[in-house]
Amino acid sequence: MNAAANALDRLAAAARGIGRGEISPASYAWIRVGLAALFLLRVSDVFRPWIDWDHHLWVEGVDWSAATQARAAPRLDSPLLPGFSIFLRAADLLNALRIAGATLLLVGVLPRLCAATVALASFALMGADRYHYFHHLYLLYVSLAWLAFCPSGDALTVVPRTTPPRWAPAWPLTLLRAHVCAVYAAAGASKLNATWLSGESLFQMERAGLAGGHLWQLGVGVVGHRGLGWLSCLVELGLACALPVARWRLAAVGVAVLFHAFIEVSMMVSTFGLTSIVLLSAFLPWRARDEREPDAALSGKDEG
Amino acid sequence: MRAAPRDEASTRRASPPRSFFALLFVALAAPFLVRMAGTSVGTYSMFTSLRRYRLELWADDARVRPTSLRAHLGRDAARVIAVPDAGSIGETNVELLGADLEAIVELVCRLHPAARRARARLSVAPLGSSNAHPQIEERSCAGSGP
Repeated sequence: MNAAANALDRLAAAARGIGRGEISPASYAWIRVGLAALFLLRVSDVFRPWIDWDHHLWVEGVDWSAATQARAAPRLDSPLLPGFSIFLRAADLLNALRIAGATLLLVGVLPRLCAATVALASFALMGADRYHYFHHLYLLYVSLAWLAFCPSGDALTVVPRTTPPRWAPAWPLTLLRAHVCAVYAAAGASKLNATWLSGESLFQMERAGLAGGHLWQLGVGVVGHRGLGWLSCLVELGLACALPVARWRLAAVGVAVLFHAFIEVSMMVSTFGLTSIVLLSAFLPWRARDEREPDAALSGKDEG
Repeated sequence: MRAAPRDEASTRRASPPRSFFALLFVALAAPFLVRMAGTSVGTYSMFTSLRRYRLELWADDARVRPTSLRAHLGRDAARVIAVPDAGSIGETNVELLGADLEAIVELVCRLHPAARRARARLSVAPLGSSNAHPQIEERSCAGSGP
């Protein structure tokens, strides 16, 4: 009974500690810069001459420019969410707003407002056209929405600060981490079916030309399609479990980066892998302190 | 004594707001809640339900090629709808297309004002299977002039 009570006490104490404490402002700033840069890269093909991105196959110019709209009436009206067609009338404005917002976000000007603006404008446009839905865009937009809770403008910013804060609240980082774990858990759980785990899905993807390359062939040669199916499922579910645990976190980040690198060179996932890698930086060992610790700046101790 | 003024502000900053656990629940549960709602939108279920699909359209008994709708579709819709007769491969977009047949039939009606009826048939089969499940949408075109 005592052991059970102690375990419950420890669990309750751990639950009370969730989201408390402070963290280096740089943790948020790097995520802000990464997500804003990926957003700007994804909404156009301006980097086509230098970088070979998946979305260059179907994106020419800028998303939501006149060239991407139906050219002739009557136009197909297919909102993802009922009533959201109305935002198509303001597509130019919303698009300009989100690109301006992402540019300001990149350089750290009004980051919370800009992240919220980019996310809301993007969801309005996605809601206005069901065929604009992609998992990689959805991940990017949801991540930007969570970034709107983060004080990400205290580092890597063009806004001059006389005394930049040394600490930022940790709870928004906890939300970002929860978001990342949920993505891995959901992706892994969706693979818990006989077709995936038998390797049939991956075999058919390969036959259809949706997966391939040297690393892919190497993987198939070593563990087979069935092994790759099991591995991908176990890695995603394992990451969802390992990333929240402090002692496993860094190893889990390493595994996740390798996992995304493998997918990136083997399949067409557009910005999904890079967005995930940017988000994984939330799990790096940023300098942090408990709220009961003395302020190092006042006590003379360097928190290192 | 030097540490004493620290920081009521800092302690406040270090404590999450009242809404924190509600937000945490949303962050953790969102993909599973949308999955329970029966859609793959927002579930991050990449590559798990790839299907080959083929969309066929008719105005009365005359075939209407999906590619002929291209000018009336946005870029992303054209990528899914205005595909060659042999069909294409998709995942979540096939689910979204299946739920959009009524609007597509309506568009066919408006583009063929002389037609009395318009019909759409979406045949969907898992990759590697020839066992296609057709989904049919048909409607009268009366009153659908451009």
